[in-house]
Amino acid sequence: MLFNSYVFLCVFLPISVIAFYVAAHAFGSRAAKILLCVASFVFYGWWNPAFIILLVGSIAFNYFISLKLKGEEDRKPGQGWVLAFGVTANLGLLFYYKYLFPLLGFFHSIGLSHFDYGSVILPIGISFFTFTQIGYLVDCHQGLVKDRGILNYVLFVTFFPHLIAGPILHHREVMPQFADDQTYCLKVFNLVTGLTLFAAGMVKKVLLADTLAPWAEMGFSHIDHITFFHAWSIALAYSMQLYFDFSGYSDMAIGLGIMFGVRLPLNFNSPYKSASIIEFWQRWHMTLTRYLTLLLYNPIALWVNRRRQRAGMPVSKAAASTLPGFASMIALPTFTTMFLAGLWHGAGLQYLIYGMLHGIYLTVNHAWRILRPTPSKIKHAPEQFSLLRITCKIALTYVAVLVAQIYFRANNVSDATDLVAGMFGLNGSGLPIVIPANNLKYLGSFGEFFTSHGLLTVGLREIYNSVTLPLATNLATAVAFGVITFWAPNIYQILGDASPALTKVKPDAHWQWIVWKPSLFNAVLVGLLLFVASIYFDRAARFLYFQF
Amino acid sequence: MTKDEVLSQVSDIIRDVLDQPELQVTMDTTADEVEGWDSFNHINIVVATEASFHVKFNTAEVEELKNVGELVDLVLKRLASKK
Repeated sequence: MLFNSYVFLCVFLPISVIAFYVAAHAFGSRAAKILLCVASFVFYGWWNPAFIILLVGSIAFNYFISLKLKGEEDRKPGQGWVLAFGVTANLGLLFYYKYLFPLLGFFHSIGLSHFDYGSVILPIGISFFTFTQIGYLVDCHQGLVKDRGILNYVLFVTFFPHLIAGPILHHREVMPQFADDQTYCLKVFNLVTGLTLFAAGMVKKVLLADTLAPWAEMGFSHIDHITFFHAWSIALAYSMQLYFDFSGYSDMAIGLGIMFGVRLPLNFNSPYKSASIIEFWQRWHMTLTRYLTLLLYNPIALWVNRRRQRAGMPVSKAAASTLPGFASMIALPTFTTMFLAGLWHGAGLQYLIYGMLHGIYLTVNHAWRILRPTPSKIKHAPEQFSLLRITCKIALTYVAVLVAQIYFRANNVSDATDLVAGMFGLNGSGLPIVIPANNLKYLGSFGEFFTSHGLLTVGLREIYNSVTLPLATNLATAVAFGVITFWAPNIYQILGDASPALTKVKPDAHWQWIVWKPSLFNAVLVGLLLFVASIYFDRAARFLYFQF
Repeated sequence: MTKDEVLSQVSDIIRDVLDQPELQVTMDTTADEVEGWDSFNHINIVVATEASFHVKFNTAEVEELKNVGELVDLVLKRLASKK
C-alpha cells in the first residue's frame, strides 16, 4: 500500500490508529501489538499477497537463528558458524532477488549462456527487512539484545511505517519502546505532531518530487549530446526529485510512527546544506550511514588497526598522514564500505561507479582533514569572507554529490558520462536563446550586443515558445527549489521541541522566530495541505527507493 | 590499577592519537566535545587503548561508549576479568 493513496489515507490509517488504541485500552498492550502486526502484514500484502509468505518465512528463519545466538558470557562453541549461516542465508535471499537474474542476463548477452532466464519480480522492501534482521543477528551474537520476545521482534521488523523503505531501525532504539506500556496510552499531542510531519512529507513527495518526476524521467530517457543548460536542468531536476521523494517518505514514516506512540530515528537533515562530503553522509540517509558504519566500516577499521598494532606500527593521527598508513587505515575501510553501498543499490555498473565516486570523495575529504594545517595554526581569516567560504564549500559538495547522482540514476554508464560532459560544457552551451523580432526592442542597446555576440537569436514566436520559455521555467523552478533546499529550515527545525524523531536537530539560527505550536491555524493548514496533495495522488509514481 | 591511573593513561592515548598535547580529558568528556574525535579517530583511540592495556573489546562495546568514563570502566572490567 502506498502512503500517498486514498485507501491508505482514508481507510487503512484511521482504522488502524483507532483499533490500536481501542485494543490497547480494552485488552491491553499485547492485543495492540498483535493488531499492529496484522495491520502491517495487510499493508505489505496489499501490493502482492504472495510475498507475505516470503516476509513470514524470513522473520521465522531469523528469529529461529537468533534464539541459537548467545552473548559472549554463555556462548557455546560453533556460535560463529551459526551467525555466519544466518547472515549468508539472508544475503543469499537478497542475491537471488536482486543480482542473480541481471547477472544471468549479462552472461546471456555476452554469449556465455544460451538460455535467457528472464527476470524476477523484486519483493518490495526486501533489502530493508533483510538489513534490519542481519543487524539484529549480529547484536544477538554480541550479547547486546536484552528483549528476546517473539511478539516484540515481529513488530520491530514489520512495523509498517518503516517496513518498505526505512528508516533502517536498530532494535536498541525501538524494541524498548514496544515493551513500554506508556507507548500504548493515547496522547493527542502525538497524533497532532505525527499528522503534521506526515503532511509535510506528503507535500514533499506529491507536490514537489512528483512535479519534477516527468522532467527527470524525460531527460534521462533521451540522452544524446546534452548541452550545458539542458544537462544542468536534467541533473538538478533528478537531484531534487530524489531528495524530496526519499526524505518525504522518511518524514511520513516518522510521522506515522509517533501516531502509534513510537519514535523513529531521523533519516534526513537538510543534506544539501552540507559543507563537506563527510558531513553529507551524516545528513543523508542517516540510518543507512549508521548501519554501514556499525556493520562494515567499524569492523574493517578495527581489524586493520589491530593488525597494525600487532605489527608494532602506530595508529595515531601522525601515522595516518603517511601514505601506507593512510591507505590502510582510511582508504581501505572507506572504499570497501562505499563499494558495497553502491553494489547494494543494484546490479548495474553505474551503481558501482556511484559507490566508487563517493569512496573517492570521502577519502579525499579525510586526506584534507589530516593534511591541512590545524585551524589554530592558520592566521585568523577575515570575517567578511566566511559567507563566501561556506558558500563555496556547500557548492563544491553539492556538485560532487550531483555528479554521483547522475550515475546513480542513468540507465547506463555512457548516458551518465554524456550528461556529466554536458554539465561541464563539453557538448556546447545550447545557446543562443531565441527571441521574437518585435520583442527585441525591449532590450534596447543590449539586444544588439547579445545578438552580435551570438547569445541571442531573432526567431519565430513558435521557436521562442519551444526553446526559450522552457529554459525560463526551468530557471524559475530551480530558484524556487534552491530556496527551499539550501535556505529554508527543515520540518524538524520548524517543529523544534515538538519533533517526534528520536534524533534531535540543531535549530537554524536564522529561523528561530518560527516556533510550531498546536493551534487551530496549524490544524487547518495541515488539513489543507493534505487535501491539496490528495488531489494529485493519481499522478503519483511509486517511491524511488521502493526499487532497492 | 586504580581508576585514576587508567584515566591518566587513557588521556595520554587520546592526546597522542588526536595530536593535541594540551587537551584536558576528564571522565565526563564526550567525543562530541573534542574537535577531531570523529568515528575514524574513535577506532584509533580504542585500538591504541587495547594495545596499551593488553586487553580486547568486542565491536559492540566499542560502539556503545558514551564518554571517556565508560572507556575507563571498560578497561577496568577487562583487567579484572584477566586476573
